[in-house]
Amino acid sequence: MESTLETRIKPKSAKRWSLDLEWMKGRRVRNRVVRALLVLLLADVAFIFLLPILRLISTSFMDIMDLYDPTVYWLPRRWAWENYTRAYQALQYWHAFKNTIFVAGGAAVLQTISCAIAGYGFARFKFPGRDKLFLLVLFALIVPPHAIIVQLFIMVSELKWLGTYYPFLIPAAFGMGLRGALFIFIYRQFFKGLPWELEDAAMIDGAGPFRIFFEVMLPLAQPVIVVVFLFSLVWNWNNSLEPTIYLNKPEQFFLPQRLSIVESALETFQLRGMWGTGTIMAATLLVILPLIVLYIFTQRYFVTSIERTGLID
Amino acid sequence: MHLTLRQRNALNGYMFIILWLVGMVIFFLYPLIQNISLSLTDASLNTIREDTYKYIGLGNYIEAFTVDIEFVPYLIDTFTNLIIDVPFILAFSLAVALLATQKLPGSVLFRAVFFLPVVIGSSIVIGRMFDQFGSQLVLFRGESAQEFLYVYLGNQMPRFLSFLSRSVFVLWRSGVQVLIFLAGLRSIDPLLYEVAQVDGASPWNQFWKITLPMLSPVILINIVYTIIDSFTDYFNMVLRYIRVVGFQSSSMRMGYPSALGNIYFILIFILVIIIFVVVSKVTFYRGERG
Repeated sequence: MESTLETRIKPKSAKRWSLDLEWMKGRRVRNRVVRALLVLLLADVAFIFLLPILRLISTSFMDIMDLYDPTVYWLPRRWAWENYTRAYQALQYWHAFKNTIFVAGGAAVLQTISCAIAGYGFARFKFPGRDKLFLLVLFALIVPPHAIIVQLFIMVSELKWLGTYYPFLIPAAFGMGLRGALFIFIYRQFFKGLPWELEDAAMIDGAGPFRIFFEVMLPLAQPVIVVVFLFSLVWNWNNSLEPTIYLNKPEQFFLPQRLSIVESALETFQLRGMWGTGTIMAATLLVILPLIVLYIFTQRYFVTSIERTGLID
Repeated sequence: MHLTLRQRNALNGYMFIILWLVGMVIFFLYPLIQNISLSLTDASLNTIREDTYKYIGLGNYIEAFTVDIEFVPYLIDTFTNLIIDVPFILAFSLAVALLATQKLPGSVLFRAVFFLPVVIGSSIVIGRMFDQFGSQLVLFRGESAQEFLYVYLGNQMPRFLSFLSRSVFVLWRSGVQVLIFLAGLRSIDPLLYEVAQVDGASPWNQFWKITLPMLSPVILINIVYTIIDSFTDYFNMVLRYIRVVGFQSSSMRMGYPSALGNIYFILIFILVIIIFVVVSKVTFYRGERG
């Protein structure tokens, strides 16, 4: 916004401004003060955002002496690395990590593809009942999964899928799964915005609709694909409802579920109450560590995601 | 077989959505309908196995409102929290979005920070985090500040304090809203501001006369998003209660939690529709949308 304003106004008004140097100087100083204050304000809010994570990191390095010491606030006197080794063992970290990445990653890949197909169908074809079916997509967005979880549990147990990873992967393959409706919506918005000439040209060259989709449209959707994949991965990773209901053997649990049995595992180390606090904090950090690493590397995709997807036009 | 272009187009369209449609029927519509019929019975895990459960009409729904002493308070709590949280989240995320559009040093970094909670938030992990040292996050700890507030707030004081201690947590849920506002702000035509500036409108007036009306569709999206987000949140007491009744109690009742789930989602649905109708009336759409 500002850049276009400046380039348009500058050539004409530059001369006038140069006559009024004093006024300009005052304005510039005031501007600088205002901007510095704004940055300070933003930094403050950002700090409040980061506060829980910073506290988490700091507490995870504390042993019982530091936790009860009122003079210790941020930095422990002794860095308790044993919190991490203990948490690593109690989480059965590597095993649980492999489970999580397999299911969350698998579901994300399946959702990314199946939702793209459905979204393209809604965006580019005219067929009877299309708009009513699309209302169904929006409806599915509003109904919380908890409302139908009892039924899904009965269905899953009748299919003998309890204790397997099918209930996470199969719905994802059908474009349902966790917030699948949202992904279909995002894809539809994106494909709707592409020029029709793309398909017309490919059709004249004799390509069928599926070939057009996979060879012309899908490569163009690459930014949206990245966004949907990342969101799906993160949401599946953090999923708290279904895993606790469909899975019953601890060795199948995902990282967030392992966390809730860390406490009982800690009892084998004779660590109750405050004695275990540092270890639980370390375990919490280990569970979100892969997501934080992922976020550091893909941060620009997340941050520009909503602008790219054309959710708002 | 000879198809017209339109028929072929329709057929291709169905080909693309057929997979989704099958999934929709199996994993959403069928459970939803089954759920309604199950909620009218006294089924539990055992009676389902033995096939001995019976139809009891609206018994479960009546029980939820008359016999159950926990459900209605949780429901009321959820709604009051929502009424407090939604304006707060919206105002906060709009302010942050407005600040972030100013060309300030480090605004890319700030955006990254504000979005971080979306990546690691809404999970058991964050629950642990806030459970553990939630008390340390209370902003006002001094006694004098509390007394001072009590003069003004009176009986509302505990509610206000609990809101404060939750406030960081509330801020943590506004990442997506900030981004939606950012995208909305970017979509406003800069020409409008240029014209307003030429006419001598102050930044204050520009905000109320241009920014806010142009953002109104985005505000509607954000309100609906915030409501759905907080209603399906892991920490939501109603959902936690449904989970406990359905899966962690010894009776393993199936009909009753189904009824609770239905009541809950019907209430959300009504609320979203009311908000849609009310806010749509004051929403300003650009010409091509109408």
